Amino acid sequence: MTNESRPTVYDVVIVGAGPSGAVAAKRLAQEGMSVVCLEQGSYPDYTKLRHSGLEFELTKQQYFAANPNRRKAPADYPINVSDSDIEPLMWNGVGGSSILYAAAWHRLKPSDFRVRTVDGIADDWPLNYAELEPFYARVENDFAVSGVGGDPAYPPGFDIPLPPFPLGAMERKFATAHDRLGWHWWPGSNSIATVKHNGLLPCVRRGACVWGCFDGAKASVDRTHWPTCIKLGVKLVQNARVLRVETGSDGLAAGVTYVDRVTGRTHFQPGRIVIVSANGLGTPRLLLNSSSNDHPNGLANSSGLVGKRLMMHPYGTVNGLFDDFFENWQGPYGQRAYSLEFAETRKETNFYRGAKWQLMGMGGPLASVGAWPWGSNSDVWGESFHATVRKRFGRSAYWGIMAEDLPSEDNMVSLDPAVTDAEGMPAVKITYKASQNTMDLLDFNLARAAESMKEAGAYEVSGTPLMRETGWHILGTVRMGNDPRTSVVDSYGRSHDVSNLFIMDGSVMPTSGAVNPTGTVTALALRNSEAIIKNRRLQPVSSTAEALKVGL
Amino acid sequence: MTYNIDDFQTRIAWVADTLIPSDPKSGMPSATEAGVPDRLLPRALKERDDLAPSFFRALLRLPETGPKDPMDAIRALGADDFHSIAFLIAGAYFLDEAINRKLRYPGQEALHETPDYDELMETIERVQSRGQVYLDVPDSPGPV
Repeated sequence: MTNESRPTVYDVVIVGAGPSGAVAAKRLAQEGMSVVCLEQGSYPDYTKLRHSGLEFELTKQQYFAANPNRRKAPADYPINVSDSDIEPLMWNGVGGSSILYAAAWHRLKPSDFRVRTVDGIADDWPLNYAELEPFYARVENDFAVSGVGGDPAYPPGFDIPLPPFPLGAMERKFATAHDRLGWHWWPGSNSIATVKHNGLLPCVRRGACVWGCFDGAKASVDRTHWPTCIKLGVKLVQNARVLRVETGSDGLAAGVTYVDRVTGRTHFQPGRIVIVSANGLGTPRLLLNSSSNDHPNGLANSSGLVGKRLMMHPYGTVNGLFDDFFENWQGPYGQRAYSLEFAETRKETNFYRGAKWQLMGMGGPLASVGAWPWGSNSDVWGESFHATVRKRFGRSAYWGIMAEDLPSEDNMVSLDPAVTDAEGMPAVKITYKASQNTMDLLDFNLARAAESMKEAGAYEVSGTPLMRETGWHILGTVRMGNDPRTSVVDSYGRSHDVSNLFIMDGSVMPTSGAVNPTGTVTALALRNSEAIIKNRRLQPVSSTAEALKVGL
Repeated sequence: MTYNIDDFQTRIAWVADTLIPSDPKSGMPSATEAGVPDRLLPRALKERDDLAPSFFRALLRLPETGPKDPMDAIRALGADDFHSIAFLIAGAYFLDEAINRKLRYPGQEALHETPDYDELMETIERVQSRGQVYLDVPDSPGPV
């Protein structure tokens, strides 16, 4: 039941103001379509950042903590992780998780689109690298990607629009080490401006990227996209918890029902097209909660795959201690370098696919006695304290090992009927177990990364094989494909069941690749938006929304 | 419930020095020598007022004066309470400018540097010379 009588009918209703929602809103509004975006949170309050003083390390995990179950901000919703090896991380507000992402930027490789063809496992995508490439290039400009082009880990044509960061002592250690090993290595590519670009200021390498950028250099879409969207006339409704996507008697999406979290009032927002961009948890949550007599298992779920095939890029670290003192606490954080040497299936291994390695800074003195990336920090206190700080601070580096996660229907997102959020919407439960392939893949890559550390001069190397609070990338839960029996949306994000419902976020990815997915997710959103524009005259729309539009 | 830090000073002193004792070899002061109980911890608790209740609740589970094996007593609190105490004590300790000077930590600075493109190009050319690092795949869509 709603309590608003005559809402405006928009051409497009978007759920979620994160990267994909922002990309779609901007492009569709540029073509004159009326767009409203409903966002469960609000703009981030950057005045809470204390990144320029010594309070930085103490305060960074307060308002900008990545784990919603710890942060417990008003816009967050409970996530039951009792049956999961990994905890999901996200930001619920304008900008979505681009507020907290490290901004390491990649494309998928050609083989990532063809895992079934190449490896005989998992699935091929319903599009290939060449089809997505022009959209990669466009979003890379919009997201101010900096770095060095010409990486031989990609086909020719991956040109980076903005100049790179300088090489530091840490990067040089690994560049020369990988020369000796004959392994791939490349300066970090990040969606962090190094020159003034698209509303961003040049990065000053503060090293606080994942706790809200203090200096306005990281490409979070509250800065890169939403100002333009607002100028183009997009209506952004903050603090709007969308409960359901509603369908009319014709089976098409008519709009969404949401609760204004400030007033507590429930509203119906009609629209001719509905786009859900609520991330790999929020999107299946919304679709499953939109069940009705016509679709008792959730909206767009005739395949039964909504919520299934959750992938989260299992993550380990390899940490090295060095004799010499070097600057390891500044940014970008972000990745200062990466290796894709072991990112695809190799003949000599006992597992499929591979991992990306990213060379990361270590943080300040407080981080040197913390659990990240060292694993346990229980033995650093008392008589060990000063020796630990002396060994680690300014004398350490780590490789973050990001494993390709293969899809399994046993790993899933479901509604948790026992728990609701503050607006009464069912919470989500994650069931996720890292596979044997993942564990073998991590073991191999941790061993190789330990070799890299030693070759770079580390006198002591330690590793953490599978870290729990690392679910930055929530993928696969509304997979795309050409066959409605085995996929939820088509290659343009359109629901097979509801032809004016689109999904645009990481949930559509059939396989995960081994790299940070924002480049791929936003390139897909741009490609899908262009398809909506091209097909707008032929787009079926709900008679319910049309009737509201003409005042019936 | 509100807590007054003055009521906890005796506990804080032994707990803080148990976690961070002095290290004469490196010239690093203990937590109390650095001013954690009276000067730095109040600042830390003001910055992290969200953590203050759990910090004081954990302290209340410890004896007023240091027991025979103080580290064992703090560890016996369990991981969550141990973390509540250790994080704020260490966080307070590293608020001190003199300690950070000793460690050569200037804080997270704003750096304005220009890349050395000659060095960058020489570095990446060595990687490029090793050849392609991706698999060639059939270009046409496979079964989906």
